[in-house]
Amino acid sequence: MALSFPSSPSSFSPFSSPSLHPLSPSPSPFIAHLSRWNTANAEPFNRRRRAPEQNGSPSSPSIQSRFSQYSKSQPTLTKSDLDHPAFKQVKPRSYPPPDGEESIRVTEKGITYKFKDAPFEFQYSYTETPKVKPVALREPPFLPFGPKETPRPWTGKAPLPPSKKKLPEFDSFNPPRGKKGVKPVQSPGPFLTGSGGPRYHAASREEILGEPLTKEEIGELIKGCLRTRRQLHMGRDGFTHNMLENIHAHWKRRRVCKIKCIGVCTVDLDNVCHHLEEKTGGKVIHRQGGSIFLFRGRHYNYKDRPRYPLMLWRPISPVYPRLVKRVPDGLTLEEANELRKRGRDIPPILKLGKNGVYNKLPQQIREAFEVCELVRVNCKGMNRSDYKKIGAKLQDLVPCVLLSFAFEHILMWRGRDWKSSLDSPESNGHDNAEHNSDAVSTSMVDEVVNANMPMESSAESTEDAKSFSEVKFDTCSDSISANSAESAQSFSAEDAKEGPSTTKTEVEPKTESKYLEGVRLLLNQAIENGIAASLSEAEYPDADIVYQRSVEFAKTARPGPTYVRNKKKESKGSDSKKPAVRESDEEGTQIGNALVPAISEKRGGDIKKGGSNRRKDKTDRLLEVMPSVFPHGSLRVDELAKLLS
Amino acid sequence: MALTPSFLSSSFLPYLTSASPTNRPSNRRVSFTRVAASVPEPTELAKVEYTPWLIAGLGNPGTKYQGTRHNVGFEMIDFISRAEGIAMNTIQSKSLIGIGSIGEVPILLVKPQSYMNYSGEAISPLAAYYQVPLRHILLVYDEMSLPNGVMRVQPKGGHSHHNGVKSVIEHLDSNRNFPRLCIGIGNPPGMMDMRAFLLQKFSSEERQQIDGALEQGLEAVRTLVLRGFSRGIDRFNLVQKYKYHKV
Repeated sequence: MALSFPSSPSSFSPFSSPSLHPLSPSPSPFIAHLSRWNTANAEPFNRRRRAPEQNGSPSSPSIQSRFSQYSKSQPTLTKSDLDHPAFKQVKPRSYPPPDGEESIRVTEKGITYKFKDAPFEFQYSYTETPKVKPVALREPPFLPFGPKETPRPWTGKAPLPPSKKKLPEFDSFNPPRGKKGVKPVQSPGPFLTGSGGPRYHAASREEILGEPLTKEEIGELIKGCLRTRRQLHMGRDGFTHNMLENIHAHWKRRRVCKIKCIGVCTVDLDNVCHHLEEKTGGKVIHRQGGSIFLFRGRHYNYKDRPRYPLMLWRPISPVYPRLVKRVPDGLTLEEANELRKRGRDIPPILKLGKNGVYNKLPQQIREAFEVCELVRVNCKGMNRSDYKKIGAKLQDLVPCVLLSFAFEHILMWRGRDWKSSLDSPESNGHDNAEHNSDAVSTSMVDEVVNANMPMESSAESTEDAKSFSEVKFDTCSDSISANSAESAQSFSAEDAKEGPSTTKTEVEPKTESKYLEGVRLLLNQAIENGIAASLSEAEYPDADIVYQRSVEFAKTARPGPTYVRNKKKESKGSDSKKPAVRESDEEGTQIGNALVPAISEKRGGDIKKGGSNRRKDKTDRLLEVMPSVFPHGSLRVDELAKLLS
Repeated sequence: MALTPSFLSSSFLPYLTSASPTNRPSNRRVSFTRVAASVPEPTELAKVEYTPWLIAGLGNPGTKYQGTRHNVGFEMIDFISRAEGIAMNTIQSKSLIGIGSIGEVPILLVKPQSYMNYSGEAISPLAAYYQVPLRHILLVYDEMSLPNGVMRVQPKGGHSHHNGVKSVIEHLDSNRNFPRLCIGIGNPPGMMDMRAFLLQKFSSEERQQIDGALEQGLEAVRTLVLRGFSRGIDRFNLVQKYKYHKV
């Protein structure tokens, strides 16, 4: 394309300027920049520039064509140069002014908008705002709310033509009789009997909520809306300001608003529930996975609801400080890099789905920290901003240190001052997480050894026959309790009597405990009675021989007693001996208490109830046995014992 | 755990306070005249119960099935018996048993020699004979839902489609509330038949993992027997869950 060079000098420059005359004394500074193209207008500047070099700098070329790298002169600007409108400072235009009534504050909570009569400060998102003070704002501050008063309600459209302006309206709460197609409105409630009806103009939040809901009422409310599709969704922005209005809109017609949370906001559902209750004045009655059920209050009146200005524009985006520091606190750069390098090889403990419910995530990470100091979570497939938000929340919830988001994984370190929540004196002194399991196991063994000592000294002396029947179970509770670490030291003198349980090669002759003697007695009796057979040394290691012998023996031996489900100790002894109802032994074992079979039949009858309540069994049995004595109340035997002790 | 209201004295219940007519030791009998109305529930802090434990491992008998995945229960029991020095040299009720103790607590190690699906027939008469309460029957078996070598100690649970556990539950009067030690063996790869997978022997890597796991499991069994379900067990479960997740 042929370029035409116009003749007039003024057309060289795309901009026009008042003083274009080449010989004007002070060309406007605006044109100064054009001097580098050596246009006609560059003359005066070139003249000026030549002056310093005339002092005799040898490196400067005699022909001044461009600014060369050796020339150091700058175009000097005079005050009048700066009068040009192009150089005028642009002041940021202040939008509806943040004056005394309404103000914008930038705090730890992010950007909050304070209104004069508002009960709380408004934010874009009440749950997902980072709890760090923003470093800067990307735009000049403005209030993103709609105008306070509009002549007509905001519909987002142009005003209707007059023919359509007058829409027939009716009150949803009091529709005219016979009107068809009226959407239903749930009445206020539920009300407890005798509490009086609805209070239509309840003043405070507690009055709107009314009495705390009973379990049955909650059950009924939830039953009606567990499966509704009519719900609000909460996503990565959490509980936004405009959701307040939506919740009230739901509450107009239904008592319970169902909110389904997915994604980032589910990491801290407790916080979400707290903010929901606080800002809306409702009560969270049920939580299931990511769904929250928000009750409006017994005496809720839609007409008295608080009217908040809606956020009609996207508010200012703040600039936050870096989330992942290159050198996190408590680490040097080398250590941090070392951890990151290690973290690249660790298998991730979890894979997060894109829009899942992550409410168990903090707990799982805490558990993983018990074992290893570095934890990696796979977030492939998610938005980068999403898993960064999750990482930021985890940093606060699970107290941990974020190391990197590389390869779409979150890498976390548990920090130097990490304390195990499962910590008991059993797990003592393991510094490195890698040796955790070994350390734990060795320390457990130590405790076992040390704990053996006090047992013998404080054990009851009972006869062999009743060796393990009447022993109180809390015999050694103190010695094995959490303070066993200290008490074990006091028994260190008895370490010599170390039990053989820890050594693998030691052959008995340990001092047989009294409790074992009872079992041995049983075994010997069994051998005598012919229901057990002992094998020689040569036989029992070989599995085949064992199998053959057991098969042969089983053909001749009597069948053993049947296990009948009875956990009560006093009946256990008798039950196991009495003939079972379903599979009766031909030989039959000993006894039968005359009175007992009555119960056993009943027992046999209700075998079917598989997982029924143990407590019911006890009371049932006792009721049968002593109906006159046992009160027909709902107290269990142990509760009675407590009362009577 | 003695829940005996004091008013239930002998005058009301003649038969319960009479002496045992048998020559067998009466174990579960607590006489009503003895008031033991202490705190009914045992304190959360560990206590030692001297009631014997019955530790049964599930598996198939014979050398043909030794070392297969389904027989990890047997391997665990063997390991415990070697560690504690308990000789398993008696046959009773279709199973190989050995008695001994961990510390002061008597234990009964059981390897049912009935095939897996009939383990209940072997175990439940033993539990009844030795009068082991339900909460002291520890069942050791293989679990496909856990990765290879990961163990878990549970106070109760279901059968998780394990025929051996199903049979045990059935024979314990449809009672599932007994503690278990589950040893993970992982899922069958791809479309492999489950039964073929279970009756296969371990690969060499898996073998090493399982050997390591058996040692850890021994410690867990000791903690359980001596201290019951306590924080040590919680910690064990956590450590097992994440033991392959660290570098």
